[in-house]
Amino acid sequence: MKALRRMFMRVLGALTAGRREARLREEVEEHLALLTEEKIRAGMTPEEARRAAVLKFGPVESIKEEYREQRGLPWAETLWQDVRYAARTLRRDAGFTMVAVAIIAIGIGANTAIFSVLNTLVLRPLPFFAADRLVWIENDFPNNRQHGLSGITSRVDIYWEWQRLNQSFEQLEAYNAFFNRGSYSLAGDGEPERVVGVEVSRNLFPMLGVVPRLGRQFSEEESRLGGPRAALISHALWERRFSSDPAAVGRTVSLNDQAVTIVGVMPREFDFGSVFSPGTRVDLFTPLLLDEVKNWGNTLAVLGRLKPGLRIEAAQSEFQALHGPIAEKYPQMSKWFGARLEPLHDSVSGRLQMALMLLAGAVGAVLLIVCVNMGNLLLVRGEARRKEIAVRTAIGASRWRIARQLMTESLLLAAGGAIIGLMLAVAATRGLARLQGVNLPLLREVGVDGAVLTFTVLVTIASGLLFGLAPALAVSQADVHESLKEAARGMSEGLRRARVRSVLVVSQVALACVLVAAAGLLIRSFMRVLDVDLGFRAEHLAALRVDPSTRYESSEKRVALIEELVRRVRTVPGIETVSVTDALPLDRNRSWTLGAKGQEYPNGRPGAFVRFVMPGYFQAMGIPLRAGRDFSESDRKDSPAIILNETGARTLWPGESAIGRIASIRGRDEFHVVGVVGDVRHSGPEEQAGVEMYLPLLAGGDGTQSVDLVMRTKLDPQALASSVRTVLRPVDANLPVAEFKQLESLVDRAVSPRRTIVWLLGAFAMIALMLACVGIYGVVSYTVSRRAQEFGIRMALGASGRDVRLDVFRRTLWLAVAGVALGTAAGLLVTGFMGSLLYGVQARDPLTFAAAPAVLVAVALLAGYLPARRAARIDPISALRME
Amino acid sequence: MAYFLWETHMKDKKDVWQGTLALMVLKTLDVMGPLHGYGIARRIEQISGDQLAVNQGTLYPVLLKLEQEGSIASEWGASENNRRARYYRLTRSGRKQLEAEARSWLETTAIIERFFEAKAENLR
Repeated sequence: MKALRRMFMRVLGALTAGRREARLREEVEEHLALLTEEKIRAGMTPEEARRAAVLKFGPVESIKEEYREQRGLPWAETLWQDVRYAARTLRRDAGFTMVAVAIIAIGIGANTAIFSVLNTLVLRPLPFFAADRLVWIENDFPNNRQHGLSGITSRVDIYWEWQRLNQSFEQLEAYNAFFNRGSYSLAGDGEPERVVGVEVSRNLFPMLGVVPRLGRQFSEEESRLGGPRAALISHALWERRFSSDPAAVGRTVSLNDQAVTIVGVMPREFDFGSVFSPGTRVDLFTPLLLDEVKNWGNTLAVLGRLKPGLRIEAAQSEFQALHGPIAEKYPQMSKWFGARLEPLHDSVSGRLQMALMLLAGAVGAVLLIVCVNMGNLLLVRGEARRKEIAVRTAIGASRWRIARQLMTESLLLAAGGAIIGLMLAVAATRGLARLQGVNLPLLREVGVDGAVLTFTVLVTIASGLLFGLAPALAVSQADVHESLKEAARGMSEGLRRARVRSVLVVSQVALACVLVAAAGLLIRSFMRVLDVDLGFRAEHLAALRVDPSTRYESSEKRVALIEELVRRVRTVPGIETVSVTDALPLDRNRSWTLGAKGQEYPNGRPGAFVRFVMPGYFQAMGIPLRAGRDFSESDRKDSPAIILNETGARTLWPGESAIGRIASIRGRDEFHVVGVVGDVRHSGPEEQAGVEMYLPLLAGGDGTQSVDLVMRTKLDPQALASSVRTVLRPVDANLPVAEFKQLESLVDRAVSPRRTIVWLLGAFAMIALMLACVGIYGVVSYTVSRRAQEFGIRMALGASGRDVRLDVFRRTLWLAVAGVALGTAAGLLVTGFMGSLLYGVQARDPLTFAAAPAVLVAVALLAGYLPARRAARIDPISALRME
Repeated sequence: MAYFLWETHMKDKKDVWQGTLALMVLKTLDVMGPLHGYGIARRIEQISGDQLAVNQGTLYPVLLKLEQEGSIASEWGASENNRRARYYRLTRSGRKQLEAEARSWLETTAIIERFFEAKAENLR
């Protein structure tokens, strides 16, 4: 209690220091006066009395000092003093301060930005209710990955069985994973528009804890086949199409020519695409009508919420145990389903973990370089301030006190850098969150929050202490006499200090070398990915989505419409070839099983991607025809023609010609192979092409519901959009033709995660390189100025400017080579862990590991050039006079 | 509490001195009523028979500490020669503190005394 009161009074005392000081002075004065009078009364002369009084009172200043220490909070006051003094010193040296703050800002900014990404993707739970219990349930059977989306989605009847039998989950919900197929044309007020809709099971949103901002969730009735049609719209669509009008809820719009009631608007923060299908914009949600999709094969993405306290491993083994009973009920399916459970969080950000770790390591290295650089700069600065420090020591400042002062300066610099770095990070994360069409999850959620701020503060303090350490240590070991002498005479500097700085520079070069090597490997991987032959030529290729499914019931009518569209588009000037497919590469994928007739497949038939195409598709896409023929105009209804890709032909009839053979699709033996075409990488540039089959679209059927017109043109594809729209309008005014995509942008989206990472790592490597450059320049330049006299003497004794220059160069080279050697060794070690991020490049790629050191040595020599030239131009006379 | 005896026996002499001085200050103010710094110093000197060769200035940190603890309070008043001086007086909590510390001081000295009087044979 008393201690508390005293503490409070001390804080008060610290705040009212001025008034208290005056009071003390007055009290002491009065005390001395009274004491003097007493002595005078005792018979002394006034002078003697005053002297005796002062003696009796004791050492005034030290008593005052003691008084002050008790009065306030001495540490807080000295800290404040230190901070003010540091600020003053730094302001006086504005150039140095600006450079230092800028360097620190880059380091801390980059770290903060990457940490925000890491925080969002890895550390923070998903933005859902009880997110740690959400589980992603993937279909699982041998080689299921070859089947694309069809391989990891589940059938409705299996889903129902799981729902009925399992004991592990509170809830099991689903959405239709083929939701790009469910793209709708939204008509009503204004231009008809293509929107992307996802079919979700009724309780998916309640399970995720997402509540519509306006309106309500789907009702039981609406989720039943034949019930009233309802839709929930995204916040973005609500703003864009309905101008944020609350009356939009309850409105009826036309969705694929059907009247649908908008029952609610989702909250702004809810971004379905960013979690479940990064890079995809999702505009609206409709109820998943399970009775409708139950015959469509594998369509459902299933997720559930575990019962509290249950481990995912337990649920996994339960689902394994459920396989038997379900397989008994559906014997023909037994090889085609299974369950692989994974926390939803892992399935969202898991594949990025490696890349994020790499980036985190890289920014960490950048920060380390920043610290080393700062340590070096401060050491150099410390040398210049040695006289000042020696004087302060001489008049009684303790080493600890001076070290603390220097530490305060470092921390102040760090804080300054952190403030600017934080601003940079906020800007960077805002930019990142706004990136469009980038295939990275949760990007929109990235931002600076409390956790990030805490991280920044910790990093700032840690780095301030780290780079303040070297100069503070240097001071505490300095010898006052030596300092005063050296500073006065400008002697060559002590060997030990020079060595410390060299070590710092070498480590900086080494770190930069590691970063450059890692970035080099990723850049080379990226180039390899871009170089991958996708199997088609994406340049000058545009696609336009049309879906005749809704208005034209019969497939004959749909085929007629598609043919009419193609005829019209062909008349547009500038268009070379037009054709039609139901699934563009890198866009949609689904697969059916395929086999050679009469062949037994004990491990299950291979899955094959299916595409329905019109004649001329291969020519339009630039897919080479390897054998046989393309489809013709006569491959119509009941045509048995099928075209395989090379992998397909090789898989079904290894070592033989496939032409003329009979293939069976989904168990029906009626397809004659008429042609073999080149492989297309349908799943992405980094995925090997699987088995692919092409069926004639003119034969009607499944493939005519929703198709893409593909157009090859000599012109800029975007310039064609309006003329294509004009010729199509007379056919059907309500045909939504807004989405005119370029195949190149599809390729772009497919490589976007890799591109983002390459960009970031490349930027970090550049920063590291620049900092290393600054570091080398700083040290060499400082050495030159310290050795100016020595160079002067040598030149006076006959050394040429060239000799001196070479001498400086040699020193620079030595530093660089030492750093590079260390860096290369470390790099070889580190890049070994990058294996999964590389594509087409060895982790120990000789080219990269030759180029990275070369780049660094070149940069080092560049940095050493200016000081070397300055050294060579030293005028011996003025150098000798320089005192 | 008697922190100046038991709790601070390991601390340096200054603390012990401060503690003792604090007790003397409290007792002085208790007996004499409000006094200024010089008066307190004089009084302590007189009572201790000039045996304590005090640097009178060391009184001020002690006064400050006592004031911060709330044992004494101070206000401006006129000194003997009509100049402004700071007068200290005992507060209620100061009086309580004085009583407690005086008691524990007496107990302590009694114990110490018995120790010194104790002879080896008496302890057998």
